[in-house]
Amino acid sequence: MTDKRILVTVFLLLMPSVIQAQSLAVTNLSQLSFGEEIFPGSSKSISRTEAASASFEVSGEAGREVHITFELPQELITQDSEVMDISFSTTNGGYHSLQTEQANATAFDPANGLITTLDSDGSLYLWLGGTIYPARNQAGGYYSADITANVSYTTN
Amino acid sequence: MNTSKKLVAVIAMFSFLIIGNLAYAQSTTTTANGTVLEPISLSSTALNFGSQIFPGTDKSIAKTNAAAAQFDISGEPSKSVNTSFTLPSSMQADTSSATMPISFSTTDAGYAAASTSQSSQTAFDPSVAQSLTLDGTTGELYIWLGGTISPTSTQKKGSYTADITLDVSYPSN
Repeated sequence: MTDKRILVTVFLLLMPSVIQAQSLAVTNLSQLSFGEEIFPGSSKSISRTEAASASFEVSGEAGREVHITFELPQELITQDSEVMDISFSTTNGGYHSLQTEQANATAFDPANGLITTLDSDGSLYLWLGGTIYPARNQAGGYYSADITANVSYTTN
Repeated sequence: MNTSKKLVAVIAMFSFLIIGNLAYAQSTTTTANGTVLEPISLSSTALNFGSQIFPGTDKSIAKTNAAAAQFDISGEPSKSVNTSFTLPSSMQADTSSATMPISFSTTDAGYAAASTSQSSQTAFDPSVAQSLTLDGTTGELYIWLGGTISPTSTQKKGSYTADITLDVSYPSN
């Protein structure tokens, strides 16, 4: 085999890895929205089964095991740097292979992440709830913070 | 192909592999968000029966009187708030253990959207919790409270006081 043939062969062997890697994706479908009427002095929770929870779609290779982690905030903040506490319970995360099954999502601890398997069409849906704790004298205004979902294939 | 060209080609191939492996990890970012209403602020003036209370004679202060207690409330315009009084049944002498009865009628409290509307306030029973609405423009609400003291004919001379507490809160989230 000539050098050129060897290189072409190596290239062709490597291409599936690249194509396969690009097939894994995570997309945000909705924000975790606590609404426009948060009363100071009263905590507010959004469960993983509510429409106001954050939701994500993972798509990849059918049957592959994936590792999901979240980067979770501890505070929401305003443009004026006012802060409000937020927390995530051990059951605030939920997952299911069908988007229509939010109500029946299996709970997981979003702080610990999740290892699960993509279903036969390569889909997985995630939901995330949380709780905010406005103080009695919490400054009025719009508060927000980033939530990042990371997804990768495991070596299995 | 010379050796250096082969090396470049191989490096290029491994670059694909490295890029491929990096692409296995995917991420997306969203937000948690919400809007907090203006917090409630509250200040007050005393219900003042004056410095000349005669033993054996009841004395009343109407809610429309300047001596009535006034509570200034402010918060998110147009939002409802829950209000409730904790009312005393007696006043305590400042320098002795003597007490003096105090009472509140079913119309001794009133509210209005402006501090200038004391004379035209809407009456309510201060012993009953209320759900009231803050002014749609200013977010303000004013509550006044009158009452009646009933000194006995042998009421001990001196200054008497008692706490009146008004709790104001938004409905729970």
